[in-house]
Amino acid sequence: MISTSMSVIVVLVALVNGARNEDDIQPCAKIQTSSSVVPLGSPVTATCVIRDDCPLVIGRAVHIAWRLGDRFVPSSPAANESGRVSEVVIPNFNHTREFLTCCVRTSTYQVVEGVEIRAGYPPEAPQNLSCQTNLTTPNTLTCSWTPGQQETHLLTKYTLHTEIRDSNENHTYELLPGRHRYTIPRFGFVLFSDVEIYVKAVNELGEATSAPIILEPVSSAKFDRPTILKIQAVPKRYGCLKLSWSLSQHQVWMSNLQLNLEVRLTTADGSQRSGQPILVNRIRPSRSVDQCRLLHGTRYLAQIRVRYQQSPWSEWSSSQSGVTLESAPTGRLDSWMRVSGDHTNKQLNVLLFWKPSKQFRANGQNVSYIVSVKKLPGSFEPYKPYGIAVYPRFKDGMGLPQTVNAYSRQKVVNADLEERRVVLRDLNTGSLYEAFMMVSTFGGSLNGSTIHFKIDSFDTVAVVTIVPVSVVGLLLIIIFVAMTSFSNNKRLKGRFWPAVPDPANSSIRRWTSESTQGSHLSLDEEPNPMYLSHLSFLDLPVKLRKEDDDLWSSSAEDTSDLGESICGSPFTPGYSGSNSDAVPYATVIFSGPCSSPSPEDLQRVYLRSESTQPLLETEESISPKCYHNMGSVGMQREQCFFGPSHDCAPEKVADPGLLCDDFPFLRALSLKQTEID
Amino acid sequence: MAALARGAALPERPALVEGEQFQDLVQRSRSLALKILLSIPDAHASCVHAETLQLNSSENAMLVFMASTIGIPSAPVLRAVSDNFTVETSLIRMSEGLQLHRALLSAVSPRLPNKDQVTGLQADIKDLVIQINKMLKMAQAAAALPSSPSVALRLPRDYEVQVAAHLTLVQLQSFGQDAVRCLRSLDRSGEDEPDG
Repeated sequence: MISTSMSVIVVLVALVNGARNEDDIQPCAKIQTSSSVVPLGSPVTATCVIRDDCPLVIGRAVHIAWRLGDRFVPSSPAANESGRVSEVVIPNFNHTREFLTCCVRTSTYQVVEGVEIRAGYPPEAPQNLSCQTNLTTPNTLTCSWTPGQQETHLLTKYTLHTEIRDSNENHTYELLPGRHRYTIPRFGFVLFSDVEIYVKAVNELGEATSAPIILEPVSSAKFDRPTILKIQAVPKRYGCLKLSWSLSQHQVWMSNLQLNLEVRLTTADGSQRSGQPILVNRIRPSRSVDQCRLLHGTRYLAQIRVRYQQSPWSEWSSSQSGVTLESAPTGRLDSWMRVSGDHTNKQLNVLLFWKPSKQFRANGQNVSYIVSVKKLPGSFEPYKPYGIAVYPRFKDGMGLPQTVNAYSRQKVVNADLEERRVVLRDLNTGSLYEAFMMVSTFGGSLNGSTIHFKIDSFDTVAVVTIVPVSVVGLLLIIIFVAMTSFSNNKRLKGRFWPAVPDPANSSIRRWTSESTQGSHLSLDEEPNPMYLSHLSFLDLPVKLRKEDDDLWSSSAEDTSDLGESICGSPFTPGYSGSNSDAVPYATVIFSGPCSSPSPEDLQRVYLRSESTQPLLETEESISPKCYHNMGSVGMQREQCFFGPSHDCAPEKVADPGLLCDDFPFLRALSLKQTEID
Repeated sequence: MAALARGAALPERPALVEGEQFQDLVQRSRSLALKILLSIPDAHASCVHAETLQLNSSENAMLVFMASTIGIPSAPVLRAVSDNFTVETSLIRMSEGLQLHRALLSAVSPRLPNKDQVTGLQADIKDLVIQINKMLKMAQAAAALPSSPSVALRLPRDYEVQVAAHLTLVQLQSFGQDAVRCLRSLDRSGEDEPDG
């Protein structure tokens, strides 16, 4: 009985103990920290307090150690007599989350308490908050933003706040973690009332608020595509289209509001767009839009888009087409003709071509052309120019014409040449050229007259250059001749104009029968009547000889060399003739009188001076060049005036009788001598 | 239930009505009123399933007794603005009538399985009341604005809920049409004539 009671008591004690343990078991230690969430990299301070009744420290010295994660960190005992308090300072906690544990050393280290330390950053203010209203059913207001760039490493909650001033309503919407977009339901905003919206980010290290935005939900709505109901031309208004439109079904309730509309027009063929979209402000769908200054008779495609005040533009509507009123065409046509045919048959085909110019405007959908060729009274006369005009004819009028000039027939004479001269270049001098002109028209060709010409060596420039020079030169020559002719310089004059004396009419001496001159003839002595040893005309005085130029090949001293054959020097010393114009001419030396009974006894030698008289040139062949003595028997030495000449051979003496016949004057002299004897 | 309202020249407070700010409020109010009228058919179709309960049915006259049983109040009477029916009176009655119908819908919507459309309608009515109250503030600076009435509906079963929702929407449609006419009479923009 007692054992049973004891068992019951033990069980009861055990149960109580068990119940007490569940409720009263305390940790051996307690860790106190300033904060379990700290900014990343900031210091962390923790204190560990060991309980006195902790079994690990009863009856033994307490040694407390700290561990951060799996490594021990240095600590310091707190000021405590029992040594059951320890403090740790982690100067730079750079873990996003780590457990800090307090340990007691026994045989090993036993963890008695721990605490998780988390570190991160306070939230950055959300950026770029924007909201847009959705006016489809149901109406909503969707806001979105961008969170801070920096990762906080902490749980950060975002809340969207709205304040409607007109209804004095404030709403807060909590977002799920990681969501940065929220759709406010219809009851959260008033369509035509301003609402202030901002986003707040909160975590354990702080909070940040975005910049608020204030908007009117209707003005922040992107409308659905509007609808073009009809596009039609305006009666009596050319170049105008009237456009009626409406909002989409979801926004039709705003048809009485003043909206902004943009109209985009393009020609149906895509060739032309009417510039920038036309902006129409403060217009209601109940009022149509007129667009003018468009091309006439042209089909246009139109699109519109709409917005309310400064809301985003809607998308462009679907296209609708309309045609402006037609009018008469403007601009001109480019036209040209091609003529073909046979002239012989007198039948020509004319093909007329035309095309619109760049400035041409049809101003209508269907353009037709009517070519009218107006027949002139009579018929087209040949060889006369006519103007042919083509007029495009339309339903409502006539367009501008295009005119060309044409001939029914052309002939050559109709050809007109504006240019009537041509320059031929690179022609050869001295070559004979033949040239003619040919003029051509559609009627044929015709050649002109043929000319022949040659290019002179000297052209005009040469002629103009040479002729004056030639004339001047000729004048100089004439002047020189005149000067020399009338000059008193006998030598100069004699050089150019040597006087050719007439032996029959010599002005030097007149030989008469009464003359009783010696054998040595001179101007002052009578010739030997017996026979004439020589007859010569002596030249000028000595002083003049010194003035001679090289024409006279020898000096006075040379000419006095009578012992030698004198070639070219007719002068003898001591001569001073009264006739200064006399020139040496001829010397005929006879060894006897011409009427000698034995003509063969007469030895005659013809001598001539170095005269330039052309008259004596012909006689040169029959006269010796040099003076010779007459090599005759019985000639006294003093009669030998001329030395032997090695290059002059005495010629065969001609028949004296013939000589006398040839020289009647000599013949007269010889007769006289004979009489004297 | 709705009195015929016709437009007439306003004999008093021309400066108030002609003002640009008042006219902006008139335009917004007309838009919201039209929005409400256009939303009623969809809202009705989302919550009223009985085929005998149609918006424009002549049988609605047979539900007058049910309306009083459920406890649905009548809407204020709107008339054309005249010497006896001033602008302020018109605005006050429009505000009271709209708030009444918003309260009726608020009382019915918790019993409706699909109430999104009705909730939206409630928001539209609230927005219209705000605009009308603004106009009323411009008309009578010191007067108190009409407050939302308290409505207690007796809805023992789903049929009463359906009838209550139906009758509320029918009455709101009629009252809304009168409000549109009343607001049109205050519109000075001259945009109501159809385009020629």
